[in-house]
Amino acid sequence: MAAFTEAAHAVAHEPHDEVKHVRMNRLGLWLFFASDGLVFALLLSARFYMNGTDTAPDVKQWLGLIITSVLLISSYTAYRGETALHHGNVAHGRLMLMLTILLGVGFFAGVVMEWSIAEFTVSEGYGTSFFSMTGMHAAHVASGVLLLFLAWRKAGKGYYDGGGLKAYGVSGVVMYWHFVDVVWVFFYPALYLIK
Amino acid sequence: MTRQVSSASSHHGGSEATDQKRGLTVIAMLAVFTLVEYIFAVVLDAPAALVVILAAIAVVKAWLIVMYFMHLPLVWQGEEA
Repeated sequence: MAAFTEAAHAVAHEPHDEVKHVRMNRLGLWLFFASDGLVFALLLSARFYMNGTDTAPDVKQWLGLIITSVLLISSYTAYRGETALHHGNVAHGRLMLMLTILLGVGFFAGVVMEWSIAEFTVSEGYGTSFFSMTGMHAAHVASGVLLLFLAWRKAGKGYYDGGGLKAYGVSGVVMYWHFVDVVWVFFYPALYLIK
Repeated sequence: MTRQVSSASSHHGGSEATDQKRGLTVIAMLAVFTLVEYIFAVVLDAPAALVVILAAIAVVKAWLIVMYFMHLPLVWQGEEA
């Protein structure tokens, strides 16, 4: 019995099995992105349906550019963190994940600041679009920060030591963070730049 | 630069330094595109043209992130063992 258990354990941990497992996880994550992306696409289309290409003249361009830059930089630090952990460089990976978390918090704070100084309300046409789109996106940023923090903690406990496929957990979280960035790539011009 | 980025879709294919360099190339391109869309929004006074230009830039930026940061090709290429 013990021999059978040992054999089953060995088969379950064959490299090929691990590769297959990671591949399925990756596919599942992309299916999630597709479904979640549809929600954001609907919000984006609703924005144009309700307001055409009109943008509030008093939207804070400087703030929009700053938070966009912060989110883009956080994508880079997330990539560096993922890469470092994949190569087994845990200390650098954790540092980059923490930087990403701080940048994410900074982005969230910028959105909250925008909400607090906005000169339009949620009941106005543009305001409805603005608050629903930034609100939904900020909720994803908040959950992304939480997931990054969990990955940072797990990295500290040695879960990703050795890198390679063992670090896929970090890749999944970082991919989610990039997805949040991709959404903002479309939201930023739609909410701030068109006129 | 183009050659460097084009090989980046193979997830973590090289050394850590090579991967970091690829990331730097992609983020530099994203920064340039963001600056370009901001400048277009400030100087261009043709709303219809602006929408088309901004949409095109957004698609290119999203493509860069999806291909090089999110490693989309791995969905069909598979993981390295």
